[in-house]
Amino acid sequence: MILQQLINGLMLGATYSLVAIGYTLIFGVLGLLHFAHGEVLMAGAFMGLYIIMWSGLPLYIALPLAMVATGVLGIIIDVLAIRPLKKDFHLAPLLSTIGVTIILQNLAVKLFGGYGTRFPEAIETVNYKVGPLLISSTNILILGVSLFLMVVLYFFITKTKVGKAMRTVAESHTTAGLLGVNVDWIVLLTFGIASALAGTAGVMIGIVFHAITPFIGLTFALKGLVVMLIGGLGNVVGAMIGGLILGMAEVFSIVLLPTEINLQDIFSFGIMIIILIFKPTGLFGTRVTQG
Amino acid sequence: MKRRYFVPIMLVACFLVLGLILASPSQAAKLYGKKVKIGAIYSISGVCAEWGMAAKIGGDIAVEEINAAGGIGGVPIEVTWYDAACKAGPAIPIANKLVSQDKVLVVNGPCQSSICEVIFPKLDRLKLVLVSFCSSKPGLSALSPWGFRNTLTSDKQLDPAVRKWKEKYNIKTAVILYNSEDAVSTVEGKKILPVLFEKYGIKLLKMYTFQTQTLDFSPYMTEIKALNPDGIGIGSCYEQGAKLMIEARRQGIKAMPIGGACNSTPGLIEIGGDAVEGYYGSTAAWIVGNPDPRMVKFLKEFTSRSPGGRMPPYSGPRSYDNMYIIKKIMEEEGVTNKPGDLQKDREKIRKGWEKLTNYPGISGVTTMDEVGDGKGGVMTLVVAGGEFVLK
Repeated sequence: MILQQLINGLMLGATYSLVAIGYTLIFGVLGLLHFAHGEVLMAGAFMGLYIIMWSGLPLYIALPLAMVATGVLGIIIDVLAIRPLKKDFHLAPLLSTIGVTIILQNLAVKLFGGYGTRFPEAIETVNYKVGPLLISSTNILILGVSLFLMVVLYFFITKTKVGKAMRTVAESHTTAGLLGVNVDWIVLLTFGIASALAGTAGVMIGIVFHAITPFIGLTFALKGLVVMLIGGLGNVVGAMIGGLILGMAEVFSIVLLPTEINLQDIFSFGIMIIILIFKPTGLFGTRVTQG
Repeated sequence: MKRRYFVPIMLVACFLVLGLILASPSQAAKLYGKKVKIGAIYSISGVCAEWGMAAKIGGDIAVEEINAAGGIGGVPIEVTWYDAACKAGPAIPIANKLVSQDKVLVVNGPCQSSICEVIFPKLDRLKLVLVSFCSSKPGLSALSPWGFRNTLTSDKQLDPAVRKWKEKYNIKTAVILYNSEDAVSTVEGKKILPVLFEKYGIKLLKMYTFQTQTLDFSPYMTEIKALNPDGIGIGSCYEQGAKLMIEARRQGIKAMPIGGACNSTPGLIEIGGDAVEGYYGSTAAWIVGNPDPRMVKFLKEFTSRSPGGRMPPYSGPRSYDNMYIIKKIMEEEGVTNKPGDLQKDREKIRKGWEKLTNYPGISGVTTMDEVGDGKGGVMTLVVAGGEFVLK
């Protein structure tokens, strides 16, 4: 049973990792806690749902379409809610993304209803039995997609010219501009890529957990934040590992603690606090010295 | 016609017409004014928005029908409504506003037990009738003689359901999973189901709690699989109920589920599909599969207005019934609708609700008990062939 719970934790953790990868990309490049990232995920889930339901398109076409749509949504958020704000008021972008969260959530309730909506079965779920263990094809899919995107994103950031430009912008917008990097374009691209990743996460969550509501965004925004803090702010590999740690923590809170009272969040947040006490930069974060 | 006959004939005709008017129940007691002001609290945003939206659509349909048929006592209804966003916080200022500023005669709503729990104790001061269309946590209407609920409380609903479920599946052992963030789900899971299990000789193996936004039930089901229970008691709304049963079936758990009214809604089948086949549950309104032509007509109209054509939870038909009950009470209790009689009219409406007996609504027959809760016919539903069937 413990082994099965390890698999459960791994699969749940992969979902959190998928959410946190895009989240951490925006923080890494812009130093911005994009609180509306969870709502972009929710929008991606609904876009995926309606693309599959209305057009009957298979998942391998519906998913890229949802990614493009959420990518565009991310760019719109940047253009309308982040870019016009004055740079010297540091809290303004955070507050603005909270505003975007409320707008998107209420818009979704108006458009789709406050209902839990069943996500169409985009792929056939096959349950593989390995001895007493049970692993479903959808779980394998989400783990595979998370790992694949992490690797692709990692190489994109470290090995490509655009990725290097992103890292330069992350260091300093001014220096990047002086070096000839088109900062506005890089910021726009970062929002687009991170939001497309959120869209992927939304569709995957719909497939694995069967139903979506306009309220799933906030849950994942908070989980994503915890994962980022555990893994190290702005670190893609840290987001992946942090997601797995959170998934395991939540599962084992059910296994190890009394079940009559809900201690899941207390346990998970407790682990986060312990990690931050001993390693304030998160497991994979690095201290930045400014002089 | 000769002139000498004209006057007597006209007099007889006038008396006849007057007699017909007085005899006609629909024309009883013409109300004063241009509008009958009714308040409503519908939470159309927040986590319970589905229930508030359904209630709003249900209430709107009833008001449109009533107004098309001449209104209440010949005066059309005007609804002033507010969104409580599923939170108790805004509910009290809303109620204050409905009493003193909007000057409504009665309020349809709110929905959630957690809001009723906060607002009902204030009603003795506000002196305004509030009628919830979905709250089912036991004990809340007893908080004030002005607070009513056109629903059955969970304890009344679940007793026959548990008995029938045990008899059907020969349940000897069971586990309970409940949403500890939701007031009525907690009461169902923590207090009502354990008592009923004991009453019917079902051994409770273990209790588990989860949260409204819990997505993944796989760790719970891995634990439950090892316990091998005959039944699963669910204290939650349908979305989590459906998800946890999907996961139970995925992991090969054969235990049969039972749940309360928030779970026994069309969404359970829409999301749960085959995984909820054989589910037993209580309800405050039989919706999908109900052959009553009034319900069929209501659902046709409802789905033409709901986002995505979705079927309502029971707050929809209960809110619809509330509006018709309000009309009946106002007409029968001699409400005048004169501004000077506002408080007297509110008191008349309260008395009307207090003695409401056998109202044949589309959600079932409603009678108020001694504290102001519905005590109509208890319904047990079973999912069979992808729809709810009355047991």
